[in-house]
Amino acid sequence: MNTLAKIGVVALAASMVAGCATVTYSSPGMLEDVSVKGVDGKVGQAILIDTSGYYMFWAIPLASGDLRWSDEKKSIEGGTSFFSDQVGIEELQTALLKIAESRNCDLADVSFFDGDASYAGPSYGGAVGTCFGSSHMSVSAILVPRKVVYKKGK
Amino acid sequence: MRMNIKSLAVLPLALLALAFAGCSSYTEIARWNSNVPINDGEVPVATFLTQNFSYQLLGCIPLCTGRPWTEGNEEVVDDFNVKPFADEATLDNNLVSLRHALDVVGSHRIAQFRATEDDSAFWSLLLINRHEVRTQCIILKPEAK
Repeated sequence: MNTLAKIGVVALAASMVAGCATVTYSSPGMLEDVSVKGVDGKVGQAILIDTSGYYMFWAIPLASGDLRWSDEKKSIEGGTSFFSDQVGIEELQTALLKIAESRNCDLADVSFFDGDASYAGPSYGGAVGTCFGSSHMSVSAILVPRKVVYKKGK
Repeated sequence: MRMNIKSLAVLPLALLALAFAGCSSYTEIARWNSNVPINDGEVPVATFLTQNFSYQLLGCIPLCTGRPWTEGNEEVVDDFNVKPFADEATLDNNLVSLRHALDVVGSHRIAQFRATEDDSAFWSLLLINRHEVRTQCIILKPEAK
């Protein structure tokens, strides 16, 4: 195995472990003077939950993002699950709802993204691209503190 | 065709040039310019989209990044604002661009907010990871009181 291939394998392993699931919040106050249609008053933080999965021959799961509830931090944390496929709308939705409930927030502008078709083909990475594929799903939303009263019909 | 050492040395430079060339922040405000309403009959002011890229060697060493859009008017739709050895492709920086866009348009009311992020490294045989964060929304007129 030459050096380039070794580096590639290390990078693949690192990306599997490090980048499979992330939960990102905007900093408090970033949406302070922004109003969102259908919401009276101030909104909270924007949230982006992202999961990826890696597969051999496009079908056998090698590693995938695992959204786990942390009792210590009272929030969802991104982790990695090996040899199972945890990338799905249901997992994202469950994580988003748990975060909203734990922060006593409602949700606005919930939007799912499915990049499931973005398998790495031979044109991307030669033998690596032929053997490995990846999928990617995410959800974004705006957290709205529950003291905010929603307008009827909007 | 035989490859010599000199031609191999060009490869990392080519990768770096590619990274810098494609590494940018892109922001666009598109005025609605029509009376066609969306959803419940409200006519938007504009559509907003921003995307920010950053590149990391082996997924962890920052090579370069696009920066958020913080100056200029809506005519500046494409901003190749590159900063080396940093990673500024974040949700927060996209919101910085959004806030500037709202200031430019003159309304801070939005709908259909959406953010996505993506990582891709297969294009460079996993040597360089491209991190991409996109944010988009529709800007509405301020609510009548």
